[in-house]
Amino acid sequence: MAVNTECPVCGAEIARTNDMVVGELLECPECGSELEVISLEPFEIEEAPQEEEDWGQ
Amino acid sequence: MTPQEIELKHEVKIYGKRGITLVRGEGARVWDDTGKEYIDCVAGHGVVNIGHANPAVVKAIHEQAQQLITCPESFSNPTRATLLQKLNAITPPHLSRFFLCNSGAEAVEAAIKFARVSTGKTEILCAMRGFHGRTMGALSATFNKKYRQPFEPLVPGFIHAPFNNAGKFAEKMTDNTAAVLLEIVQGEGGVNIGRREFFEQVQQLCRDRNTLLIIDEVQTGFCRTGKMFAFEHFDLQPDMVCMAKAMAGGVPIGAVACRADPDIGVGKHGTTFGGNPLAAAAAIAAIDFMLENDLAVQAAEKGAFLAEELRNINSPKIREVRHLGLMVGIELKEKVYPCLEKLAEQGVLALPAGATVLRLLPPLVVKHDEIIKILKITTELL
Repeated sequence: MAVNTECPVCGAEIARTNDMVVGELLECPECGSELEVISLEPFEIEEAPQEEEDWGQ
Repeated sequence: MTPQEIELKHEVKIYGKRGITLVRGEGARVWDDTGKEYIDCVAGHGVVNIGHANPAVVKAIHEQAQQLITCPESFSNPTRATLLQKLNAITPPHLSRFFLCNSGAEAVEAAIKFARVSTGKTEILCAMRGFHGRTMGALSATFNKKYRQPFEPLVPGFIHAPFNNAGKFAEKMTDNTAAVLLEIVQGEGGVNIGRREFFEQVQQLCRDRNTLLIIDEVQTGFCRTGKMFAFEHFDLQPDMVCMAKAMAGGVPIGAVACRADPDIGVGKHGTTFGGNPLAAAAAIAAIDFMLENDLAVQAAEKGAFLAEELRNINSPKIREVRHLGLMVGIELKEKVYPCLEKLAEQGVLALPAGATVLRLLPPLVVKHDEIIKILKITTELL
């Protein structure tokens, strides 16, 4: 079972956790890209679709 | 037409609108045009540390407006002079000169220019996930491609390395690195808190390479994290500190604190409104309120309580709760925007920090019963 994969944007290592589920969102700890868990077996992630909203500063 | 309809018709469409029209604020609360009350954990994106409509700031603005509102820097002014003394008193002794401006982005822009002109070097080394503003220099220091790409080409010479990774910063630093520019807590980037060893190693790298260390305290400054400035949590002596947001209780202002003798040169930089007496009077009143009410201690205590209670929420939606003082981030495993809408329906306004982090920046004067209400509503939603 693959427990780690790479960020598709910057190549940083992304670790799979035991409670992860398909569809879960996470951010790359290095580049902050918004990622979505596509598959657990094998562990695969993709860049998540961008939000239309933007309520940030 | 309603205010929302007028704004939608006449404003340049660059802001995501939340469908709420705010008309009044007091302390940690705001009211919309229907009379609905909210606890305001947006706080003007971390501006309202001393609370909405703080009476001390209202009085200072009123009195100063009757005397003199604007005064260019080529003329001296007693209110501006008092503010400079006040800033000198609340910053470390080695930071004894200040450039006054009107916003955080302007402060960052000035710090970048000061670093280049005073060192004769051109590169600025910044952190991935960092946010420093949207003007071209500040945007070049900002990492998120969503903000950057539409406006390329940006200012050359900006290089990014992973936050909290001093080894990568060492690899990227060259003999042409004028400055390292860092936030202590990356707010917009996800409420990511820097580690002590990272900051101290980067500071040593800067000393070894004759590179300036610039700390962006635009969101973290003025008591937000439990200290007057967040870099005080660590053994840091930055060469420049950028500040804005909460500095004047909601009135636009910014500043860069510098070492004693930055070699900038007369006429090399400037601003029309920077150092105006109206904003200076508001800043004096705001800083006095922070000191007289031990607002840093309040932020530390209230933030610790809020974060501890949030960590007790048993929800599969929560990945992690992070905080430094009353700068609080709840990282979710799902999109945060639907949660923000539900919170607003229940009377709590909060911010996103990226796609999955729920950011709470309540005014530091928030009362215990208001924190309990934030917790109750957040718990029910998560």
